[in-house]
Amino acid sequence: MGTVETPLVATAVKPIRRASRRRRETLAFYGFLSPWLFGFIALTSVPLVLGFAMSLSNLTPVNLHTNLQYVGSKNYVRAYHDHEMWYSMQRTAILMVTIVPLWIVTQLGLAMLLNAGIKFLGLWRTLFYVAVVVPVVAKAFIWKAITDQDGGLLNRILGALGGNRHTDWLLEHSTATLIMLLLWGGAGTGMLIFLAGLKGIPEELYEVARVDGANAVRRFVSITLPLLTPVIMFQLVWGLVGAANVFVEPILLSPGLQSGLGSTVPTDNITFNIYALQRIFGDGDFGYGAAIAWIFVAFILVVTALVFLSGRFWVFQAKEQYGK
Amino acid sequence: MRLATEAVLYALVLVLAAIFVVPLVWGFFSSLREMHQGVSGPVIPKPAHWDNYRFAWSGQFAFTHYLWNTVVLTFIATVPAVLTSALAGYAFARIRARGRNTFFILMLGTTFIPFAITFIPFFWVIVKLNMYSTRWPWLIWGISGSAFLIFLFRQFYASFPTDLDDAAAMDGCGHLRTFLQIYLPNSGAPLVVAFIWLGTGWWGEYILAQLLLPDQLLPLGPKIAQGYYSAGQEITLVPVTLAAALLFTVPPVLAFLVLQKKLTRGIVTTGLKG
Amino acid sequence: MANIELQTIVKTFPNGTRAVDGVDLTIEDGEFIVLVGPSGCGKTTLLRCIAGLEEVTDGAIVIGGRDVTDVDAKRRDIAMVFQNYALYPHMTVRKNIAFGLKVRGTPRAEIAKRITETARLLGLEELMDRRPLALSGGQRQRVAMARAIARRPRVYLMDEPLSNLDAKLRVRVRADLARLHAQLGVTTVYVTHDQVEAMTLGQRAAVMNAGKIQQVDTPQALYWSPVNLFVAAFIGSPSMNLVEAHVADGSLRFAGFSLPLDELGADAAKLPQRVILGVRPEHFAEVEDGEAAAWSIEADVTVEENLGAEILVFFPIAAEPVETDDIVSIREGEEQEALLAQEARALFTARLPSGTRRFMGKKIRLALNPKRCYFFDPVTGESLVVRKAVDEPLPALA
Repeated sequence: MGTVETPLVATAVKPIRRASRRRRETLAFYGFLSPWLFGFIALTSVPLVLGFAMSLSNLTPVNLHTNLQYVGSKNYVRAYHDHEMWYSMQRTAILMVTIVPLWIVTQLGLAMLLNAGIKFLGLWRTLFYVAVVVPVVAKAFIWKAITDQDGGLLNRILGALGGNRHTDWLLEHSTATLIMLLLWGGAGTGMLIFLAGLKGIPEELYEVARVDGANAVRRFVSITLPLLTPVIMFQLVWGLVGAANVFVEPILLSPGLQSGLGSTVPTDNITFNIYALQRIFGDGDFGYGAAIAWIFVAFILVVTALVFLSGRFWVFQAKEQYGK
Repeated sequence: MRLATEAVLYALVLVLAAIFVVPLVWGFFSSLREMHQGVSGPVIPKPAHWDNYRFAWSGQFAFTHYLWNTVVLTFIATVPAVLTSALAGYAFARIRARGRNTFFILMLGTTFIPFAITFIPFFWVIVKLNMYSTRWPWLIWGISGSAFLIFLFRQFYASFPTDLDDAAAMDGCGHLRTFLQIYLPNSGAPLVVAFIWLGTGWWGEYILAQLLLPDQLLPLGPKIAQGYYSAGQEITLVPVTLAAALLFTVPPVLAFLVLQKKLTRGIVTTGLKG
Repeated sequence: MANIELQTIVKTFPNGTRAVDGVDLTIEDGEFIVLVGPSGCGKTTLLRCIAGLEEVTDGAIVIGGRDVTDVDAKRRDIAMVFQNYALYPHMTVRKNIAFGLKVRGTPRAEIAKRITETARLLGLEELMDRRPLALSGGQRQRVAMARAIARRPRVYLMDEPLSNLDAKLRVRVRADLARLHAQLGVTTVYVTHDQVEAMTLGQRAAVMNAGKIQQVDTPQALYWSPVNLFVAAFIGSPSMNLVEAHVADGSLRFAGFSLPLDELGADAAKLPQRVILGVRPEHFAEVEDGEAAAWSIEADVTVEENLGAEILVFFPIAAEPVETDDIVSIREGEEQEALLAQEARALFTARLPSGTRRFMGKKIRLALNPKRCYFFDPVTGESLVVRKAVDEPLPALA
């Protein structure tokens, strides 16, 4: 056996070599991340900073080169006194608290139905999911055909049931129409995620509960729901953020010939996002639009933070439970 | 299961499935009505005006031209994004480095930022870079990946057995080779999920194209949204527009049908549960 | 081929756990050494440090005369067999074996040659084009070995490679491993929690506990001459019976028994007032009625387990079980949770020759051989009396 190089040599070299090893890891990390970082800077950070600067200015396409001024919090103060802005925030909030629970209940319900051991699972799953991959433009046109005032499917059914067969859905019930569209087109993905969650619950738990004499409702309340709370939290957060950011669907569902940013969206469907975009593209009031968008960010952040914080009271933490 | 419960179960599934499919069927029926008729008339149109599809294909604009535009935009925005998202997901799951958690939170945070805030400054940058009216922005979106997909890949890779990393390290692999030769070939499930989600999203994209591209580069989304009109008159040809919309829907639905088994398995295995 | 020198290796994890706590060990060129200990003792961490998969916090690792402490795993010229085999699921057996060679830029012809050789050596020829998922556990294990062997590294590291095999297969593969090492003669470090593997495979075994090496020696020496309570309790199955005893009035007293000290000869002088007495189950012998035995105790057999070749009898004695940290760490490490709440009394085990007799519920007398009794310091756990391996058969069992 040859005991060899003195440890002295080793100790002297060590810190340098070790640091270089760490540096290589760091380099690899940022190298791998660089495409995203590039986008993060170009698409998010720089526009975000510029957007904030914009919200403190009186920027319009006209005074870009002539009369650009710093106006301080003026745009924010104006927003505070803008009833239409508050109304659009209210409509966004209403959309969020309506569509998100509907989504979750539908998604979980469908997932449980599919998990109940029925035959032709693949077929049913496909039928429930297929709406998700339909392009939004096609979704909107289909929904316009369904809610058409003269001869739309919804009015035909309503008429057959003795209701008003000439209801103007797009104008008078614009939010209901929007919610139906979002529910139809947005349930599939969540259903698959819930289905995955259900499959992750060990069958033994249900068997033990059955032996203990728990009926189906009891099993759902005491086993399924608690074990699915992490999935529900996930769906809740993504659902809220998704619902808050809705803006293409209302535009496409606006009544009339034109579909596009210039279309006249019914007042009840003017979400926060659309209101900001209308100030920007409609009025050319860039500064004011940016200020509204920032208020919007604050609103979403507060809502999601509250939801996250509430999680500690109702989300089951499997990791703590099993001590892994 | 008792027979009665089973009957109720199947009845329920059948009714719900019908509710989910009826809109598509109704859209299809409506696309076969007389061009100027709107959606009125008998439920099943008689005679069926298949001509509407021909008109949608070539009557008002060259459908194929815009279809090609859609394919190109979807491709350059999706394919690089899936790869760079997988790369970033690997980094977040497997490479230890200072700042990793910070960037992970920032990455998730970007999904909160509404379009309205960043679009005008982004637009300004695009104009400054002479990329207005070009497809370059789509490639930029493609290269920078998607926060949601990065999250998806990170979750998937975090549940990957670390033994494989160790084995690869002993076999002489660095991170890049481990990612390319060990992780990527075993990422079938999240790759399918990523391609379907991002691809169908970009396929149907509507706002950005309208704001950034001239007519000859537009994809089908905004092009069809402009609607079909009868010559000289300002009357929307609803059945024709629907026919075009359904034609536009065929590719993503086909892709989904082909990959649907893998998609479901993918969602199960990626552990997308928060 | 190479020797390995571990110089005061310390590994502290970011959460503060000191998994390896100052290990000094020299492994000879061509040696097969086993690191054994209960789970959580730091043996796997130590192995991963040698592999380069973990960075050591302090100390140095020298392999074949080269300080590799800060060298990447891939440049250490080491191959490793993992507990779960870690075969690449998307590659065929052939590609799995070839991968490490390819990455290192080995010429094609050479790769092909080594694959053929290794496949023949391990009987894998029929399986070369299958994927790992289509293989049985034993076959996967062989592929994992083949992957390591084909690389022809200077050192093999094996992390519990047999733990996922069923009991019968394990015995066979264990024998194969021993043969393979004899054939290849490559320095091998083998980690296991299974003392049978440690006893049968290792030329030497290092018993670890709480991040420290307790004793390094041949398996026989570990069995016969444990340096402390931990090694004594860990090696041997069923494990050594332990009880706290007092020295008073020229006799050793425990659980109501009193054994004359003079039988111990010169060793008697080494015992302090309080000691822990250890007796291996196989060192008890039954005393027939009327037979004389200088050291003997009464046993009320409560449980018996007839194993065919021998019989294990269990009997409580009127003393508390020994619960030093070491003993507790073995029990916890092996995750042996008792079904019933622990009795306040210690349960002794004796291993007797099998026959048709039933012991359960009977009172028997068991003789202890004073030369086969171990004595430990109750505070430090150190062995107080030196015992040597002997060939002479035990009197009563002869």
